[in-house]
Amino acid sequence: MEKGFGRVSTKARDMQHFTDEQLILSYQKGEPGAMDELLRRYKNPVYHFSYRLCLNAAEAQDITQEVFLRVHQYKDDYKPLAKFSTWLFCIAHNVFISRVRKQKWFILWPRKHDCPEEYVEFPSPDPTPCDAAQERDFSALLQRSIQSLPFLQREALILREYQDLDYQEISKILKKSLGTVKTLIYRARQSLKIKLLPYVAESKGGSYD
Amino acid sequence: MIKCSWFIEISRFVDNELEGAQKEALEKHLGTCVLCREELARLHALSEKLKSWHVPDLDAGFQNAVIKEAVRRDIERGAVKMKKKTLAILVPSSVVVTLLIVMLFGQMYIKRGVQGRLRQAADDIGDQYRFSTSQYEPYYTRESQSVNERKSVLADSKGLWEVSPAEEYRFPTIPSQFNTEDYNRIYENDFLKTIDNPLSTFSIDVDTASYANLRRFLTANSMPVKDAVRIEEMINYFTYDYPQPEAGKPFSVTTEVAPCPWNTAHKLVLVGLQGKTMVTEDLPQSNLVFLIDVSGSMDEPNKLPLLQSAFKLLVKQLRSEDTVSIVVYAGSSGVILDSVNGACKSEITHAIESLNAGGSTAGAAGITRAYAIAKKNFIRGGNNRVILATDGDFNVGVSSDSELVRLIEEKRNDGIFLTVLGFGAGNYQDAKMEQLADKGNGNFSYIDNMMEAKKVFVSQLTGTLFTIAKDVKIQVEFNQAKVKAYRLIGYENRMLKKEDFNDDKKDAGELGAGHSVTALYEIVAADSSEEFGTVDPLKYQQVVVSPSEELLTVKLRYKEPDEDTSKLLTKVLMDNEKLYEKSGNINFSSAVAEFGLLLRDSQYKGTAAYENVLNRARKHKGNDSYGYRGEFIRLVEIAQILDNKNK
Repeated sequence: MEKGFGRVSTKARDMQHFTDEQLILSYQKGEPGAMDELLRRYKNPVYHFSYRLCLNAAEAQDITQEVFLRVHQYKDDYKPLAKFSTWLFCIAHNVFISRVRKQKWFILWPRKHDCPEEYVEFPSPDPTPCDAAQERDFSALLQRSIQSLPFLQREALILREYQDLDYQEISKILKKSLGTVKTLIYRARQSLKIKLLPYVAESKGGSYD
Repeated sequence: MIKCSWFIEISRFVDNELEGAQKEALEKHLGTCVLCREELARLHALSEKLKSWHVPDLDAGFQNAVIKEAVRRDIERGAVKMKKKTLAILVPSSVVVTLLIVMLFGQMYIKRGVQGRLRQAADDIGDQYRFSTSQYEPYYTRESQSVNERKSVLADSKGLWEVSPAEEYRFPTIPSQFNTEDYNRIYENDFLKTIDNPLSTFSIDVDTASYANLRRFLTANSMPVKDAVRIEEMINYFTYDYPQPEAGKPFSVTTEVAPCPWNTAHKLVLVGLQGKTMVTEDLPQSNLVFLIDVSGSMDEPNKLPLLQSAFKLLVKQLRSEDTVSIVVYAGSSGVILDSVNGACKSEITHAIESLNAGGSTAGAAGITRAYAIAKKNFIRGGNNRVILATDGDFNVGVSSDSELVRLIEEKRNDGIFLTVLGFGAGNYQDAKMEQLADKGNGNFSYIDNMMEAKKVFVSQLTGTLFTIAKDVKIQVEFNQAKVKAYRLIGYENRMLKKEDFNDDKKDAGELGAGHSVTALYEIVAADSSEEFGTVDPLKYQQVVVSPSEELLTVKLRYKEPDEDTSKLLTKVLMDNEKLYEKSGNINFSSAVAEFGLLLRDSQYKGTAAYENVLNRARKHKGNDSYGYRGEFIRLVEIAQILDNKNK
């Protein structure tokens, strides 16, 4: 078998049935299809994660690329003691942090120009907001509310709610104790709950007009 | 929102992180605790809502790009040795590419060389001596240079000139570029002959915005725009030593008379109203709606951040009887809090802190929604109020002044009052906001710093939040036997027709708890030889003057906050100016008025001078426990230095 990347190996189809851990182990052994399959499985989750952290498509794409390059470079450091996803998001966390340090940094506090307009700007004028406008209003409000959380709370919440990782994994990724993770997520939810109260509380739906 | 100590466990429960005994204990607790059941439902709803945020997937090409980059880096690191076959392709192709690049650049160089030389030759025709343009660019055209830079430019150019000390110590001024602040032109009241106009009618004005705004100008070492100076708002910024009203009356009336400081031939009459003071505890239940402008124009340190700090001050004052809603608007409007108990301070503060600015400004949509929320949570007999915080720069939806006024006039009939807080500089829309407050049964303050926020939200909170009398109108009847002519100082945009006084349909100003309103008349004695106006004497009508020693009669009409018929108060002023010298009221207010005349460079300023203002203000500073009068003196001093017209 040829060494190299990007060429669909004869084994590629079998790899679809591999677990993540089997994949990374065979990747360590030099199976060329393993990288393809891991990318296929995880490029979007990592991208979504970084996008939700920085609200900037280009930046998130760079981060995602950097994460997989590190996976490639340090693949031999992975030990089958933790799940692959934990290891992967741990790398993502590190990449993100190192970029924050390097750039000092607009991603944590994005100026409006750094984000795609439809995500940050308020929707267009509408004196009597219809449902659609309210929906967009809400998604802008939601993003602003998440963005205003302290950094660790935000990251923990995103890992929990969007990446669907459990506390154990989050605690390994953030290198915090389980208790801290529990508190981080709790606090994040409390702040969000207050900010989004009209949308969250029952019997107080969205209509005021 | 009240919290239960189990809330943190509920968060874990939602995430399925509870096991065994813990889980059972919580499930048991959920059976008994309503709060926790609600919390659980809220957290589930929150998770649902969070799911609505979708992020698009990566492009299809991404995966290949990553793999290529990985290969490239491997090669850089030397991790993969290239095969001879690959090299055999790479080397010739890189040679070809290099050659192509060299050719391209070479061609460009040649082209530019020929064109450049031709152009230069064309430019040189007729030039005896060539100078580089930068050498002869006058230094004053470079606007952004600081004085020091200018100095060095001058020093470099042969060192012949030196910067004069005057230029070096020039005050930094508010940049006039891009200034779109809007003020309505003020036409000062003229002297009116008593024989033709024995009645002077106007609405009270408790706004103080103009003073805070001109303070902003002066502290930035710049003279205020003439039309930004509303003398009545300056006078009413200060509290005076007026008595508290008798039982059952919302306010007391004080009248004083003294010689006019800037025209010795004239006299000055003071009419002062003092609203009943209230302590915060006695205020009725409040239903407050904060309507906060979070449009892009608010994204400046002296706008949104100042606004947030100011509102946090207000939140500290709230009681458990009060409810707070927060409506924000930018391109459209949204509700952040709906009727949260005033005791939940951390929640409200949190919501305020989370505000960010961005987008256009659909002010009208925000106003409509805020009033809808206020109406929804209306407290009968309570204090229902919308507090609008903005720079006034509406640009989406209804934004013309007249339409906004119509909108707000519709809303005021619901018994909802309005407080307008102005913020910021540069695009500050003074005229628009004053009109809104005026038409919307409201008051208007300009917040230029935290001290002013404290005045509005702490020391004078009851006045800001609670109206004790509405549609307060003043009508003064002058005695022709004593007064030949009179001039009302300020209140130019508050003048009413004499018929309006008894017309309860005509809107007028609101008086807040503890507010005081002061009006000054400059009057000319009946025996003066001055001439005013040139109306011919009437042929058929004859005015019969009933003999009286009275100088004038003040009549006041007001309505209780929740009533529609007005009540009348009257007060007579005798011609007696013996006591004026000791009065801190007329002397200090006349100092403020004189300062206003100077700032406006008024045609009626007579012998007004900064020196006189300062002398009188210092003498009658009183105990000045909040330091407002002391600050006034400092502002006059700044204006004295800046103003070169009135030296």
